[in-house]
Amino acid sequence: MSSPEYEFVSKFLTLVSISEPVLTADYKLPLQHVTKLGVALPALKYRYDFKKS
Amino acid sequence: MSSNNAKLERTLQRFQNKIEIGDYYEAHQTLRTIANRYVRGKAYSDAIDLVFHGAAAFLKAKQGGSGTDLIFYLLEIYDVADVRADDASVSRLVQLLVALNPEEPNLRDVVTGMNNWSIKHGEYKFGDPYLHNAIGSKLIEGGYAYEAERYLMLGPHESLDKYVSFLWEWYQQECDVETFGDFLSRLIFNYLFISNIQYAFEARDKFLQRFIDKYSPKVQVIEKKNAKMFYFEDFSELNFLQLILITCQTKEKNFFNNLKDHYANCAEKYSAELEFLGQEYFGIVAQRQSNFLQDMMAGFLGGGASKGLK
Repeated sequence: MSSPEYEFVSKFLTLVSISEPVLTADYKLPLQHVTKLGVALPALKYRYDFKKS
Repeated sequence: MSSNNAKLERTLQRFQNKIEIGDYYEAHQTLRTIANRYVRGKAYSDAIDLVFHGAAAFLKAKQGGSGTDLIFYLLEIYDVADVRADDASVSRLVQLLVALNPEEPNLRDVVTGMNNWSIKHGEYKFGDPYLHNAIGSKLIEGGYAYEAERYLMLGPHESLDKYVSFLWEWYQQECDVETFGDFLSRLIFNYLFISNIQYAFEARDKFLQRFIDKYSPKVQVIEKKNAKMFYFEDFSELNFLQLILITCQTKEKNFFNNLKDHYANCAEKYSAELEFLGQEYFGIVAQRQSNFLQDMMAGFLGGGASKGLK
């Protein structure tokens, strides 16, 4: 497994790992402080059929 | 117990009897009249007790019209009595939601009314998270998929599993492997949008694990000091989405730009989402879509043609 993409990903992760992340993996902004919801995501390619579930 | 509460008990008992014999109209009218009296006398807690139990009894008796009417009335009383969104007040609404038929025609109005009250009388700009969790479940049952998603992403931790399972079920309905990235991207982006790194990772792990267990794709875990991801040999979009999450943690603009350059197709597909993340995590000011001077000139020249060129 040493495709160009694999090489990129591996190097990228190494570089990113050199310093501690600014936001740790357990970081979350408390919901009381959430003021924005980002952008609306596009609709998925097929509809959710709730009668199937 | 005060004598007042004993009186309330008796009223509720009479009400209950009318429901049991199917005298719904009479029950509804009587209850509203008595509740009105309580409200006028500012005996709000009695009014709330009465209307809440009344609504619950109607929903149990499958009288959705009367039940939802009383839910709206309860919200009105909550509002005039300035009831704060706390455990007790939210829990009443959650109980009513659970009892509500998901095919109730005014389901969306009911949940919107509840959420608006929790926005106005609580500390969350988008409404109470525990209420969101119950609303999300009910909206899924009613088939309002995208609305459900909005509530679940703004719910407590238990909403996360619900959100992951819901998207997985949706994905399973067609099982078109090419669309899996579209589904994963919703979890990653939505949680990144509200700066919830923890849930983004947890949702990623749970969602990808289901994919791996079911389809056994070629996958390898790459783990460096502070970063870990599932590397998919045949699904580079899944790699990209995981890298975006890791990159947002760094808040380092160079990594972000580097990643976008390397995955140009994905960057284009998700350009609107990345633009927002660029602003939020990397301080990249979005480029204005139009050139002000050009627009002004076009205006002077009677044009507006530049708008059509975009």
